[in-house]
Amino acid sequence: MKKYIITSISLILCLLVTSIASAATDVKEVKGSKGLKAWLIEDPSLPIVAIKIAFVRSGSVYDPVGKEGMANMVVNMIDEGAGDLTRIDFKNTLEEKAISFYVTSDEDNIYLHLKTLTEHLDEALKLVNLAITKPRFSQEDIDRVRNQIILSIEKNKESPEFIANKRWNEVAYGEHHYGRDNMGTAESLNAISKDDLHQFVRSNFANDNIIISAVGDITKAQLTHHLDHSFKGFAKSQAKSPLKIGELEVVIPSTSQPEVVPFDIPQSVAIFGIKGVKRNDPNFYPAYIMNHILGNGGFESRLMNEVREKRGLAYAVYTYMATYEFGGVIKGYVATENHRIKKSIGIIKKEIEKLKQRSITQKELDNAKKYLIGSFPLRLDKNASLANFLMFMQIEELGIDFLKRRNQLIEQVTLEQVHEVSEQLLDVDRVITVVVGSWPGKE
Amino acid sequence: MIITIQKSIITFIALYVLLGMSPSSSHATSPDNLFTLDNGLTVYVVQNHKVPAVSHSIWYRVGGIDEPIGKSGIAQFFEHLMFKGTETVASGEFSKVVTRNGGNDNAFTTYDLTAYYQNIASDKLGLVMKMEADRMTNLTLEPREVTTERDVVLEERRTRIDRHPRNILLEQMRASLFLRHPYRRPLIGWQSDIKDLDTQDALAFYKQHYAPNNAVLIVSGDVTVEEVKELAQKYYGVIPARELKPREFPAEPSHSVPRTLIYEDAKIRKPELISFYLAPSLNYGEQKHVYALELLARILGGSQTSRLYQELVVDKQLAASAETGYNGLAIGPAIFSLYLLPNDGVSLEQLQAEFNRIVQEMIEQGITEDETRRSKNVLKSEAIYAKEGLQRIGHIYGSVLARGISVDYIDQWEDNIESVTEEDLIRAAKHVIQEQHSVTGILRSPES
Repeated sequence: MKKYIITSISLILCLLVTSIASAATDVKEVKGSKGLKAWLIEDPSLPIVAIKIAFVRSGSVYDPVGKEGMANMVVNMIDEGAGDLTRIDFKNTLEEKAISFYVTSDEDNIYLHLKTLTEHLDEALKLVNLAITKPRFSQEDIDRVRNQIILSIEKNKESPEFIANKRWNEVAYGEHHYGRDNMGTAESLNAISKDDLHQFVRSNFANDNIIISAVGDITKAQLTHHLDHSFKGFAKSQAKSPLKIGELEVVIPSTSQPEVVPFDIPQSVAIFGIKGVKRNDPNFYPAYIMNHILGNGGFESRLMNEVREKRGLAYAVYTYMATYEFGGVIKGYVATENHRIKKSIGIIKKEIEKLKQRSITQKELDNAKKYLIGSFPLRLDKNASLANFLMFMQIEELGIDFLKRRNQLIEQVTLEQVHEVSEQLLDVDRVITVVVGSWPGKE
Repeated sequence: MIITIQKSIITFIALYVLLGMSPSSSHATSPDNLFTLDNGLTVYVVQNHKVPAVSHSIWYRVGGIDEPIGKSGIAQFFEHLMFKGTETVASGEFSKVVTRNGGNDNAFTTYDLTAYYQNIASDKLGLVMKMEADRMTNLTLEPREVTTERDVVLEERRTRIDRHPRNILLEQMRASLFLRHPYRRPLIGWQSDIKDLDTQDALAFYKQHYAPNNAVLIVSGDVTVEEVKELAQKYYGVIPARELKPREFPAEPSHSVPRTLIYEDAKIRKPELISFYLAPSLNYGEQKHVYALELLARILGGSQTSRLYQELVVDKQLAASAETGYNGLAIGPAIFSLYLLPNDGVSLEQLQAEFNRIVQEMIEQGITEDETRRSKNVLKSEAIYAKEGLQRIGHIYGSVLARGISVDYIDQWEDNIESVTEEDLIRAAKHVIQEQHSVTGILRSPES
């Protein structure tokens, strides 16, 4: 039972800027003899290695029309046996060596997460390579996993948070593929064949869209060796997606009223949001600080203060920036008992309007910077989170010296820049709100 | 927050039942790391110099089980109120000061204990100690703020329980499993109790339980034992001890009737079955079974290679998810839990019968050495992975020491897991998986 719910939700890109201290900022680039490269931080203090691998531009936004849920299905099938190893052989081998290996995806990319004791690194990488080059995809496993995903889709419909988020994405993103459910539908999943899965792997796991990072008890020479010997057998280049994905335009709502999804619960859940910026936008840092002050700074944030501390209207209220390859949004969450939800939304909109009116003070800005810079080392303490950073630094092309420059990027943001970005991004008439539960007058 | 369930519908139960903390050993405890101040405050230091930061936490030996009858929820409500002001720190400033110094802070309440923690640069350790020691004894409560915070807790209850049919069912299952032990009460409190909690209740709770001799201080990170000793003496050492009442809890009477609760809610799209079995813990009942139960939960239903998963999900395709869970780190009795999510067309009764058959077969035919070996490897590797980071290792020590359990438990955990035999596993299964001390919860829609 925490004092508050920790708000780092799918903020991988934003997490990037809240961490890393000088002690472990020494990132090396390692090159194999066949063109592959990886970023590395060596840390032999524990016999553990974390490796992150991304295949970019293979996420759900590229799922073919009619076969939505494809990337997610592949992700769920990758550890279901490979090469000569059946599903159970593959998984038992991982367990025998206590190797942690799982695969995830988001709208844009697919990610492989590996953590192992140093003594089993060779074996671990062998298994990973087998999984991404020779997945078994037995029909039996495909049918079972498909069925499990379909059941998950149904279970998600029991969750007000899930419904609210899904509906918000549909409303805000309109026809854009970001508005689709990553998991697809029963119908679209049933349209995906074994050949489709093999085709996906052949087309999307390639030399020119792979990104690799490693942190922990592994030397430069060892990693170089692995680049040559443990990452092989996939295509030279990724097949071009026939889909043309355009830049994300967030729909402008025609009414200030929220969309209400009636749901029989005592507390309504609201998702609200507005167009934001992409990670590579010159305004990213001012927007990042603005969002921190609005709703991402825990008890320092304005929404927490107004909605929870002053009025007791909610246990959790927060905003976060979501940045994608084709656009960005600032989204928020609040949940309040049904007859007071309107009040919560009203206060949130008022605070958004206030921020637009250049109300952020120099002191607020200074405090935000103090936190964002001072908390820098706190997430440095785990190999896996550092490796995740190194992966996103490569995906977002932030530069190998980013960890050293990052504090400077926060420090140099001026109050005027934060005011300007607030004026530019915030507009209560453009806030899209979805409420799951009830709304006065719309029972 | 969207929790994608997909292939494995992850540990709904474990999450709810207890803090899912797997205790793990790092290095043998050095006697220097553990000391007690004159006022009774226990202190433990975990040194880790990887980054110039510390995780500082204080653990009070008070939780949901210490609440007076009719005041359920006061422990966690009071934890919220600890973030209000003192004579020298303005209301709400505590967390703000921490964040302005580049730190994170939070707190949590469990049935057995209440913990407050900050993660911050090591040169700020004195600052957070000063503030934490201050609110151990100087908290001031403004009645109007208490009322507003009570509204927050009522919203928290709606967020955690009232809008989730599964959690409503789990809350009632708990009340039904424990016939007498205070674990039967919801940690967040019954709504009717929370509504009546006031400043007087909070202050009485504070005076009775918040004292140095009822607390454990943990510092993990870039510090030395000497530094911690000096700072702890300076800030905490000056707080006088209080007279404490012994923590005594009633034992469960014998359970003789299996219970089944059915909760129907139109929002439920796919039915679920959850079972709780009353189980021994490190502190309660036949403690010799604890390590075997940790392994058993893993072998039976703790992974995608487990018996339940392999038989019910993969081979027979009767279920989409099948899991067991257990955590023996508790002051009172523990829960061995089962979660089953049937595939379409499979009845809950059929699935439950399959579960009973699998357990019976395991008891009769035994567990293979391979299964045991793999599970031991995975559990033991967790011990190594837990050495990473500052907060987690600190919290493992805090959660053990604050329950009055010796650090030997952590030091010897790997050996104890290693020494579990196949016979131990069977004995533990027979001891715990018995209908008469179980509660089965069924969640379904009225139409099903």
